[in-house]
Amino acid sequence: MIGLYHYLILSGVLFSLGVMGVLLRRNALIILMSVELMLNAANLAIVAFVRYPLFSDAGVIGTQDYFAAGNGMAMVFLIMTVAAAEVGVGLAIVINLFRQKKSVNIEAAHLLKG
Amino acid sequence: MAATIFFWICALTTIFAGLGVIVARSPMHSAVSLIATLVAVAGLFLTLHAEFLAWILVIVYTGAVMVLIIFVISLLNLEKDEPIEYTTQRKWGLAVLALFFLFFLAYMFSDPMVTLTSPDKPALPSGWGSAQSLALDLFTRYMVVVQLAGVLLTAAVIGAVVIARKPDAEEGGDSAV
Repeated sequence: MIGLYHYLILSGVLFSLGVMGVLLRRNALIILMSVELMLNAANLAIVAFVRYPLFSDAGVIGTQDYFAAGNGMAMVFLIMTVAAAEVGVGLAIVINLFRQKKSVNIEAAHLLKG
Repeated sequence: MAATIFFWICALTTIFAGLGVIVARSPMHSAVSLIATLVAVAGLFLTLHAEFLAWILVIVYTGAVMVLIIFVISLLNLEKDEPIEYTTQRKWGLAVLALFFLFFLAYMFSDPMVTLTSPDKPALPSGWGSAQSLALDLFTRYMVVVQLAGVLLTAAVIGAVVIARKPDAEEGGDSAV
């Protein structure tokens, strides 16, 4: 039987993969894609929390109250909006970097170095 | 039973395709792996009865965002990356990351309430996860947030145009925004 914690562990694994991608790769585009992985791990955790009820000291919170506040899905929707905006600006920066340095390797991007 | 099998298929696809994103040497292979990951995550959303979000994920991410990324990859005509070099520093970083992950996992399961089978799924009201229920939330309670998201997208579009513009376009005068 699949429970909440299966989804949470999977979300943690996906987030760790994203962190590894950001730390290990030097290609700006792949770093951007790793950030997308992390955002989707967060989305997955939120949707899992929306589906499964929370526990309190009094036991399971009543489903009636719980589903009246279906705000987690709205949050995921807004995270997707922010991710789309982030990709747009990120790709513009990558294109600008490539135009100036003829490379998308982030080692080449030391323009602000004194 | 079928739902369990579907979950495991989606979960394994997510993990291995996610691994493919970070180990593939060519950015194009990374992008294709990311598409597979996102489709599998959409499948997981389906198992959680978030149907509308699953379709939005497929349409917005694999339909728009990933097409944009693939477009940029083929536009820049990138060659393959050099393979990842595992320096001592990076090995230590990965070890610390793995340790943190295991620590959080151990912390989570140290709570006696947390077992792999709990908690039970509540019965869902009809229309849960549909476009209608999400729209009722978004356009009543979160109206201001939706407006702010619109402002954010406008700012992002203007920012992207300004950043990606050719530097010498400013001298032309008429082509400047």
